[in-house]
Amino acid sequence: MATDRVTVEDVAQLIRKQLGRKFPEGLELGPDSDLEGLGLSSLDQTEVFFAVEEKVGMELDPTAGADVTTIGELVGVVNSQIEQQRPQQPTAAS
Amino acid sequence: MSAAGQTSGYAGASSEAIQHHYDLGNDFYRLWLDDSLTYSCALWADGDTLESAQERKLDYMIEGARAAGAARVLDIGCGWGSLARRLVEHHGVESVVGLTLSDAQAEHVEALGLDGVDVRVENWADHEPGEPYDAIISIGAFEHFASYGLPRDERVAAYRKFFRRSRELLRPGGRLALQTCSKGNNVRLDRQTTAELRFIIETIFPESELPWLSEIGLASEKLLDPVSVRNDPDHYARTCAAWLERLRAHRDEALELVGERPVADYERYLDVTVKHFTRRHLGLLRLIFESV
Repeated sequence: MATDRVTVEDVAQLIRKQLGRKFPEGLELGPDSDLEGLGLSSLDQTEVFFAVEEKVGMELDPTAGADVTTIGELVGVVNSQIEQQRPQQPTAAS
Repeated sequence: MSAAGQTSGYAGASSEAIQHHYDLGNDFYRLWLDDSLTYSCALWADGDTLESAQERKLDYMIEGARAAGAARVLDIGCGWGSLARRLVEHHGVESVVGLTLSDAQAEHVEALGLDGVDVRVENWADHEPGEPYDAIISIGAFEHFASYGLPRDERVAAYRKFFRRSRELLRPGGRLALQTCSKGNNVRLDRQTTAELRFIIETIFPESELPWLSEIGLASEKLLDPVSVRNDPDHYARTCAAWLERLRAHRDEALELVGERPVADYERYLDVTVKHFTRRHLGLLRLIFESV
């Protein structure tokens, strides 16, 4: 079942999982957390992107995430793609 | 002995990381590299063999650096000495200093007994020559100058140290010819590609990172003037394919020398690099700079 939207906490959880033991102990993640600054390499970031795809149950355009630098930006890009890919609801009931 | 940790800030991969890769033994690399043991992307033209394409590459870098006929040339990351040999034997250079962090490579170059070539196991950051160089050539070493996973600003800072040091080591007007792999601009990575690139970084080239072209631009800004830039990913795909073909042809000897695991790892590494250079997930930059 696809998720409607992702939250900062959803992405933070995936980042913690990606970094595993490399995750700085006690660090609070928020929308302004810098992905590279957390120690995520470019390949780590790509893998987080894949994990987000799994979570939302749809394929996202990988080029859309290429310029993302913070968790908040990633959440914004993902939610905007979810919005674009969502099947249009019929507007009139009959 | 030279180690990255002895200098302030990040000054490149440690001796241990370099030796992890390059000290599998000269005999292993001899099985699949060309006769000169040039372990970097060649420059191919119609009708080339791997040998002639490697010579073409060395000559391109030598001409770009205006090193032919020079008195003093520095070779940063000298490998098994093919560039140093080409400089003194074909281009009339009086003195070449070659720097490497690999003991096996240094021993090999020393054993060549080349007149005018002085090889040192030394980091460029620690290199203190008595006088400036006419030219610097660095082929396939820049990949080791920033550690994998460093944030962009720290990568640029590490590269900038290299360009600043190059400028200090060059006479005014002297040139730096630099060849390095880079990140490719095709960022549409699928899961398999990501796993393969991670395998290369973690298994084959630990403590190494590939630059973006923009990071090289930023790192050299206000230090060196760019003269030319070219990107030759297809040339590296062809080079890796040639190496893979030779390794497969000598598989039994390779197994005897280093065992099953390294042979399988190198076959996989060469196989996936052919694919990823072709698809532009990886780039191959050849850049010429001038000290101004």
